[in-house]
Amino acid sequence: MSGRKHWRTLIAGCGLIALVNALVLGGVAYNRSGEPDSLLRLSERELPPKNGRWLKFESGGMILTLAWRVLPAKGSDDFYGSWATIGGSPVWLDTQKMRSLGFEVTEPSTITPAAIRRQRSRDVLLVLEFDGPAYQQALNLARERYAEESRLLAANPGKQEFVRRRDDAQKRLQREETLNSRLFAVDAGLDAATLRAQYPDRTRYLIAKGRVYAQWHHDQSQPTLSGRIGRLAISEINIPVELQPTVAAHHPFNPTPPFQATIAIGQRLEPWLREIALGNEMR
Amino acid sequence: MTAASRPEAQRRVDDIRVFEREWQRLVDEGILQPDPAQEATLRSHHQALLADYAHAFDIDADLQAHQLSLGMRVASFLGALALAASVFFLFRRYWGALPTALQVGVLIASSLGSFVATIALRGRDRSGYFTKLAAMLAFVCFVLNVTLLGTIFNLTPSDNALLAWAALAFLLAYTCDLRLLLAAGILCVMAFIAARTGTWGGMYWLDFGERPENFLPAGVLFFLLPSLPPLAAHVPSREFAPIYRIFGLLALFLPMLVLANWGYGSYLEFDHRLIEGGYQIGGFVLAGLVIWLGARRGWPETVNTGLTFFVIFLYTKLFDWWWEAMPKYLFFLVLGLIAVLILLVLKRWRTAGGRLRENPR
Repeated sequence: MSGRKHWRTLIAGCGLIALVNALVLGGVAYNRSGEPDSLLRLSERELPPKNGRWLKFESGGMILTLAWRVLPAKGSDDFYGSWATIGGSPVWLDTQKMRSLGFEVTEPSTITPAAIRRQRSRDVLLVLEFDGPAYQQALNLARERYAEESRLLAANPGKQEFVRRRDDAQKRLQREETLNSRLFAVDAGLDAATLRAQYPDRTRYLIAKGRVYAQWHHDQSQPTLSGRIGRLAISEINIPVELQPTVAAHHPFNPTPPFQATIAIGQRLEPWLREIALGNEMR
Repeated sequence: MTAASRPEAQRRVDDIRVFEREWQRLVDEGILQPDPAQEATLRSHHQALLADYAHAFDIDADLQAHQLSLGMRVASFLGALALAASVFFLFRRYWGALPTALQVGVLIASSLGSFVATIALRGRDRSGYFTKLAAMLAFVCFVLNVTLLGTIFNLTPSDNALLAWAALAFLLAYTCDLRLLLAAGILCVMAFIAARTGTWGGMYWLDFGERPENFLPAGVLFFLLPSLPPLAAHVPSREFAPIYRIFGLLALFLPMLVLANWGYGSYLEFDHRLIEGGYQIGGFVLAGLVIWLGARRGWPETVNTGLTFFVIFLYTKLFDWWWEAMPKYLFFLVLGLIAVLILLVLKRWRTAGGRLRENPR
């Protein structure tokens, strides 16, 4: 390789590496500039450590996952079974909402297998509500369920089945009150400004990029469309080493100690951890 | 000396060795009685050429050197993989203990340092093996650089990263004559094109694999790329052009093979059985065209890829038709007979091709 070509290659390669790093770091700076789009104070209930461990050998540090939920339809089979899991199919993500998110919804009589196949997933913006009406609804439902099971046990004294059902309902209520995430997906849209105007409280509602999948129900005479929320575009939040000592020193390998963390969502709707401190939640 | 790269010089050296052996055979059989002065001139020219190549490119001068060189190539490849894995796990092991600014500094420094080291080594390493090892390490460092920045700052995954990786892979591949990095660059660009095609179709970019047709535009592009007049001059034809064509064909045939058996994955709004039938026929037709084009242009890798997929499409179809209906011994007998038939057709084709070369119009 001639000397001139040698230098040209060197400059091109170093320039490429420098440019890519500058673009990435510039994007980070822009995201964190100005007032955050939202600023939420969450706890270990909404931010469980990745894989349930606070620290792992050869894990590359500490990572928190954003745990969010949906409220399925009352009476649906999974209402009491999986409502505390991450993600799912909320009631509000119906045919009309799917149309507003860009999915093609034709008249039932004109739906063809090809039209069903065509639509899979779309990028959307999700509104996540923290400790708001959706959580209260979840809490009330757990209380109602416990009250109902207690009433049934009182009507059937000594029957083991009703004792077990009451105990299960009690455990679920306790989990709902103390462990389950209070972050609920309550709406979706395509425009951040419109959603923010609709949900102006930046300490209760965060807007995040996510994905919605089409799902077709064939239980009626014509297939009907509804949506399922998949993963958020960013569901893991890194704990910088500067913020780790306060938590790592106390619980190096323990499963999830109680903590309070402030999560900011920036201009590009990318989150970062602002503060984290061990301690019981302040309600 | 006219060779521009080590592979070119090696090919010339191999040609000289073959020429010398045949020359000696003809002289021994008395068919050739060369003028001693002319023979001496020829030998001295070849000796000078070999000495030049040995000095400039560290070529394999004999069979033993050639065999050792193969071993070095394998060692270089395995060494690069092991070093890349070592860098990856080193980063993982100590990553959580470094402050953010230091993490960023280490990532950028490792990318820049490994790239500069590769270029510096390029000027000193005549054999090229150490340069290739360093080049692969530089590529891995850059991939880790971008990926880990995404993790540190919780960035939204972006398909633009594929373009950045491809750019460095192509730069290193062309600088170090490294086919493995060329393949890495091609795969990155293919994934980018497929992701963008999927995005235009309304899907999330990371789901691009759900629609095999997303890969077809990239397949066409890479198959044609070495033959496009403005770009052909930049593709070292004997080394890199076959890689472009093979990956282009893979990006065409593999999606067609998937869709020939799973019509639900198509963008086309027809019944899935019609789509599967269409892609089955399309696969046969394309394989036939590719074999014809490869034979006509003298592209052996194109012929072989076309032939391989022709057989795969054929056997898949035969499996669908007869696996359940036939006794197994009969099914495999039919496969064997078809293989014999393909051999006969190719033999006939080869003979016809030979006659055509002997008696060109």
